[in-house]
Amino acid sequence: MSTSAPLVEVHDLHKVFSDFWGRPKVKALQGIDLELHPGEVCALIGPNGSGKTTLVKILLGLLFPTSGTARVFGEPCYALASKARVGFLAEENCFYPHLSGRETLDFYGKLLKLPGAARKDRVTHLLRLTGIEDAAHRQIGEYSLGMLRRLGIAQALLADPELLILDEPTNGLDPIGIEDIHALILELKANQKTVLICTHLLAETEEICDQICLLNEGRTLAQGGVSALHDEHGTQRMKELFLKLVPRPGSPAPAILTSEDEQPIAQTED
Amino acid sequence: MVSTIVFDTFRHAWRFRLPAVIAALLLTLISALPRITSGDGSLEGQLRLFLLYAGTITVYGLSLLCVGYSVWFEGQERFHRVHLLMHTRPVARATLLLSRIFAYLLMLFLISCACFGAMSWIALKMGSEAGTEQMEMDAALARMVEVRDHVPLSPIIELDPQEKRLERQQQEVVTLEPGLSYPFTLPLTPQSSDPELSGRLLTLGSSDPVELRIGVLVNGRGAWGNVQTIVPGQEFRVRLPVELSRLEGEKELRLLQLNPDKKALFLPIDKPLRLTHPSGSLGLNVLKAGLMLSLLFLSLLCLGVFTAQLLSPQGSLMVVSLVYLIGSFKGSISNLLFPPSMIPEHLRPDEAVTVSEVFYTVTWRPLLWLVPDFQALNPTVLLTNGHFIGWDTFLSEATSTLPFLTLMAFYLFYFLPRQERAVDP
Repeated sequence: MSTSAPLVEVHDLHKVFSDFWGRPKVKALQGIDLELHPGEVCALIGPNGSGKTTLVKILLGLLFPTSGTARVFGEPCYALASKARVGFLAEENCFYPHLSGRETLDFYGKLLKLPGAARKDRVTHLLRLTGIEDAAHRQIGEYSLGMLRRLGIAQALLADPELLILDEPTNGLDPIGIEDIHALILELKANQKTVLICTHLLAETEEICDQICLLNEGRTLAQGGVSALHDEHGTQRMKELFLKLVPRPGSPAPAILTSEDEQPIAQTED
Repeated sequence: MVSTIVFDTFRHAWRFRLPAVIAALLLTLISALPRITSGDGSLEGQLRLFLLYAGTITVYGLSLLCVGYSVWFEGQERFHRVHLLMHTRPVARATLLLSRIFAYLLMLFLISCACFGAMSWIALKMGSEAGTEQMEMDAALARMVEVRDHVPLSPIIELDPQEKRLERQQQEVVTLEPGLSYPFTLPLTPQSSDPELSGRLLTLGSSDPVELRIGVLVNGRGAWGNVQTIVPGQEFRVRLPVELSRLEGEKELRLLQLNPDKKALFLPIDKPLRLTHPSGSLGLNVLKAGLMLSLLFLSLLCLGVFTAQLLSPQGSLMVVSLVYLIGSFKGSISNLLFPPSMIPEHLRPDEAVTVSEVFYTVTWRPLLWLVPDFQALNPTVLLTNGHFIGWDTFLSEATSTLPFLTLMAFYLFYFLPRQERAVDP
């Protein structure tokens, strides 16, 4: 664990969604604790509806905690000052369909107050880096899912952020694209950037992450380094750990699966 | 930052094409109008025709574009989740929304300028082609006199003693007997220290329209105007002919009741009437008209953007349509739901009044307070009738938009920072 000041501090975080009349409807987060230090890559994993995206949206100031604290760069999550230092790839593809890829990046670059010449160079570089340079002038409405994810990643990297929050970054990407994203994340890590990933692809967490946070029904089931978690729970693979700790829907006890009868886990939206 | 949002909004409008199509349709209508209407050949007549038809359609067309496009655009932004990403950028939420509203307003302003500019250009061109005398445009637009607010009972008005109406004055109500005329002497001159127009004749009484002939005389010169049909409860205005308005001297306003069998016309006289010369130029009049138009668009934009932030796209479209209809036909609906307390006692059917009083109090009165009269904010009505737009007229109409603007300000600076943007309404 790093001794430097954490970039992300989450302590005893609760989030309750209410209905129109203010009555509690869903307890999305129930006492989450999390710390991220510079250069760390952390994966938030968990079944659908476990609270991963809610936690991310609180860190981005799009939702407010019901109780507890969540700070980014030592500031409250909604503070504008820290937003320029955070890159975000949303689970959905949040772009205007009438803009082209280059126009989209240019637009968000302007919102990030990047100066003109530097912005143009940065946009060109990121279009090349994410492999969508050839489609840069096409309108986004014509993009495939994979191209939209690549554009989203380019958008998240625009301001060369110190903290990168990626919600399902490899969703819709082909194996080459997934490999490229993994390489990119490892490169960011080498440059002391902090990355928080929400994912259902457990194999990728073992490849690239230092820290895992396994959530279920808004609670932390397990948290720590990959090897430490395996040692603690007597597992060898992340999928095994996941299936051991997370109860199947409708069953009271966690279902334990041996390595012989492992089935691929379907990738679904959170 | 503001320029980025404005540029983006314009780019979207251009690619979506609806604003461009509406602008093109309006300009086509304006250029085709002289071919389908025939004026009296004068510049003034042509301008009035333009303002009456093309001006009204332009204002209504742009008003609909205003509410529809703002609701649609904001709805699309939420549908594509663009707002989530925008709010993770280092830009204040209020800045984003205000910039967007400014962009819409600028777009509407440019289309309005194009439309009204085309009207003026064609009218001027036709005026010279017809060989009409080159008259100043301000004579056509800004040299009229209106009488607004209530008919006065004030020291500045000397009622003709021969009319023996002192008793009715004390009751603050004047009844016009059929076939008789009632002069009000107005000792104001063009050099009056208060050159702004004010006053409004408000007729009250039964809901039957009454025919009146109104005349304005200066130093004994003048003529009766055309017959006007006055709907009780609705405002009407009196225009002073240009040649009379330029004369100094004592002015006299005469009202002649033409209906042979009706006497149900009441003139409440609780405020002073001031019949004065307009002192503004065409430029000032057009400026005020432009400001009124901007306020109309601004209040509609606030309504559209505000509802789009709080409701689903379908819900917000329904709400803005309803409010727009109420605001546009406020005068007509007011007439139908006439405030019972204003009906003279002897005309009240007891039970019906009680029910309608309750209905009026719980429904229409709050709406009247909240929803601006969009028709009153439409300056083409005033310009068509050759009215000088006084600052008091402008301010009173501007004040009527305050509820919408206050609501928007409250939303922007209080509610929006506390709103969870990732939660769909």
